[in-house]
Amino acid sequence: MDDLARQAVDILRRRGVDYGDVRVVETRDQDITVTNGVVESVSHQQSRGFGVRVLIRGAWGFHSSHVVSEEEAARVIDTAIAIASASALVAGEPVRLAPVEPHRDRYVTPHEKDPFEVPLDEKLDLLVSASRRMMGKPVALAQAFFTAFETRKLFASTEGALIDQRIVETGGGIAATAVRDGDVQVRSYPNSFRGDFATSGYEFFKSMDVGAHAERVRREAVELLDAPPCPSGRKTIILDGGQLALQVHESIGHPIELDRVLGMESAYAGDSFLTLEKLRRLQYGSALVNVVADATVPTGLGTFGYDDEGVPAQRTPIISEGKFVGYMSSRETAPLIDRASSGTMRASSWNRIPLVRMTNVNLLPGRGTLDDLIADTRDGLLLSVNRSWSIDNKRLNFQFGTEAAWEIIDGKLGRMFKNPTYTGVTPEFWNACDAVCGPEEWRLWGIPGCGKGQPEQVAHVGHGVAPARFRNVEVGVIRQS
Amino acid sequence: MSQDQRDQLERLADTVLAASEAAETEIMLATGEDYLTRFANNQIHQNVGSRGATAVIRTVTDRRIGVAEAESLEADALRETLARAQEIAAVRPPLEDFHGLPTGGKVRPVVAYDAPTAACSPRDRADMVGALVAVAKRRKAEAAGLVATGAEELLVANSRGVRAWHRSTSARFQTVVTCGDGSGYAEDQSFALGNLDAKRVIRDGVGKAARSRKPHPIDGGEYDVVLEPAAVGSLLPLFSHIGFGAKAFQEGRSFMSGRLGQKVTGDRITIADNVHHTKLRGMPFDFEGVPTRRVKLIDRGTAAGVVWDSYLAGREKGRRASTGHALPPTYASYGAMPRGLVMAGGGDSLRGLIAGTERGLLVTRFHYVNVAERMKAVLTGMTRDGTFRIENGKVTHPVHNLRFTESVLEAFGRADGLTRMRRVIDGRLLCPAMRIRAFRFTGTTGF
Repeated sequence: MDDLARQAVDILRRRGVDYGDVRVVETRDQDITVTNGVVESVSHQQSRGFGVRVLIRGAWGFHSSHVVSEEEAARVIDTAIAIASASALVAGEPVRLAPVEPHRDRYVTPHEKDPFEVPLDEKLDLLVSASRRMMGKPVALAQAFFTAFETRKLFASTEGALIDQRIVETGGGIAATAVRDGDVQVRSYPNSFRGDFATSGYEFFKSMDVGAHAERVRREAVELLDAPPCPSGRKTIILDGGQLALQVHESIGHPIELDRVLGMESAYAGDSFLTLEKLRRLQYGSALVNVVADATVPTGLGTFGYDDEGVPAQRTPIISEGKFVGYMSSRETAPLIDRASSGTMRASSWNRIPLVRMTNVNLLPGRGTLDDLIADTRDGLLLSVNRSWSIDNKRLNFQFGTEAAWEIIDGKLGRMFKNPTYTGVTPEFWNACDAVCGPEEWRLWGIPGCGKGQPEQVAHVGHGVAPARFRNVEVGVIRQS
Repeated sequence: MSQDQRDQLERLADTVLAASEAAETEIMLATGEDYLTRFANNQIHQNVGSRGATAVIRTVTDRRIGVAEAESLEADALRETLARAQEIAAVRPPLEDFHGLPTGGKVRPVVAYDAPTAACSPRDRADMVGALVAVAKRRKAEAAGLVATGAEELLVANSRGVRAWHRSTSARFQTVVTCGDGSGYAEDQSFALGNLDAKRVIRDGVGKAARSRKPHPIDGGEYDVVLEPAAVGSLLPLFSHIGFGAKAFQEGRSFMSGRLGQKVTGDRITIADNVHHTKLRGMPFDFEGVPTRRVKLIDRGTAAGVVWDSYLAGREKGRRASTGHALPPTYASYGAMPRGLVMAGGGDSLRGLIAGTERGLLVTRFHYVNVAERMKAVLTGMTRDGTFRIENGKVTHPVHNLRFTESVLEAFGRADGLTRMRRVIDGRLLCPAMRIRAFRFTGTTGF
């Protein structure tokens, strides 16, 4: 890898590009699914390749290949240059890159136990055991999941950067799907869609102790079949951590991506309501809402040493006491708002360009426990674990569904409801936040499936949250027939 | 790509199959190049290419299955991948209801390769963008979107005699044009660049953006809607995902479960999976090398069938056979899935559907559609890129975007008109426009 990176930079310099960088990337993933006590799939994937960006007279070109050789590097660079020349045919203002010190450094995810070194049968035993504890009618699917990722990437640029990173990620979880008379209900732990993930070793997966939660997950999935539908109307709601993480993701994380704001994603994922004049002016949320984009927080799924432009990981204020104060940016977009890059450019693989991606977009903790918050709520709902999500192309009108809801009456949890949904408009919703739980309830959640870009890329991002309360929210929009 | 490259893939596959110590071995090899020129704000801002390769190896011994994948066709990588698959199989418990790799069958070839598309240059793509941008600038509009071309070759072989090869090219021109507070979408795609109707894409994208300026506020509620093909196409993928695969069907999690032969939606709705359709030209076999059959999924409103792979069909004790819809073995936990949905059209024209609507909405497409309740096929999503009021049979003015939350089964049950005209959406769907009575919108926006 090192040789190819140096050779590619030499070629780029000889070709006289204004700027060039190369990323040589090796990845491996392990993915296990156990269903109803049976190992349904075990797969191992690995990948190796490199991608080259060139900037010529203010226009970009990128090309990439799985063939890792000096000869291929020369071919790929010449194609990238031809592509940049074509970009210049339909150009706008020339791209200017915000300055960055060319770092020469190495970063490795802090971890105790390499997830790929743990014997496969040890993982299978744990997953099969957890799955079996959820089995039995009416649970049709008793599933347990494990996933590990390792990414080694070497970044080198014509400015002199040479950065070697090894990112280790581990995750997993369990889910019980109960089916009866045309009704399907799911409960998951610790989160839906294959569980929770972190930049960490196998110790993160072990710490979730999925087997200890299997009985409860099964019981709640079954109880949901008999639960009444969630009532509709304007309600006070408390979102648990898993659901609030996705709420932050969709209604804060994506709108603060500066490339979206500048229209660069408008044909696909959409743009953003956070147009430039709103910076430092918009009251995004109530005074209790404080948000940072933090790529430095330990174990966050969006934690790294440097982004894919060689910019050091940072903690950037986004919302301070409810006021909108910052975007996530890149070396290309930051100069347009007279700032330095916030270091959020990441590519999903060697064959993709880096884009502005969420790091760990965290809602900072407030005060008190979840029990305190429930006790402080006279009439409301506790909504738990995401089931579905949708938001418009400016990130304003959203609708979420969760796996379950519990009524709160006079400070106590009551009945469970099925099929809860809620909907709202982003700034109105965050301004209706009147409580955020404290540090004792705050935790990071990892989301490994954030889509963006064409060709599409999937990013691994994190969100630190503590449960929070929102007033006067529209609940229950599905017609019950 | 040439016969030489096909021979090379076959030699690589033979080498792996010969080296395997497993009772049964399957290998999928794919190689290709993809290029995508992306533009926004009337300029090319991202312009990328990739040369890639994938090898997926599945080994089976005593019903113990191992799967490993590498993004490489180099001999060392293939040896390592085979060894990894065998290591996994050795540790993994047997899958008792797995009945072996399929024996394949005769594949009916699909011609989906176009040499000029494979040779398309960065300049060719930039010229298409330039033509659009020139028109957009004249109309004081801003164009975003992409021009993409690619070529791929894929081989599936196994130790039971399967050997299936396919090569294809793809071309896509898509735009979202903004004109003040108006927005318009258009796209075309084909296996051949020369088949793209670029003039239509430019005319429709820019024209719709201009017409959708100054949208009026609108309340939620039930409206008769005329959904353009892209709007229908934005409902079908998730509808298909939750309903038409054999895995969800077997597990009782599909709206088709236990309902084959029963009415599930309206009489006007017929949906099949047909990769052989000349407008789609999909891969004529699946990732196990089994020929892909045309499968009728919904026939005039009645649940007719779902798609199968060899494992899920094998669990049915001889009552089912694979329809050739297996996913790559790295996605085995998702089961079989449709790859070429074709919705039957009707006898109407788009103009006729609008003319027959007293008070309603014309919807260009939906954004960020997701499942709200799977057994009733309740989906939610937003309109975007051109939503218009219809009054007394005429499109009168643009309106703000709305959120729908609606059972697709129930909504299709209220369809009372489909167009003869159909369009390819996302390269794998063929959809008509459709009128649906009393479609339910549950929220609105201010844009």
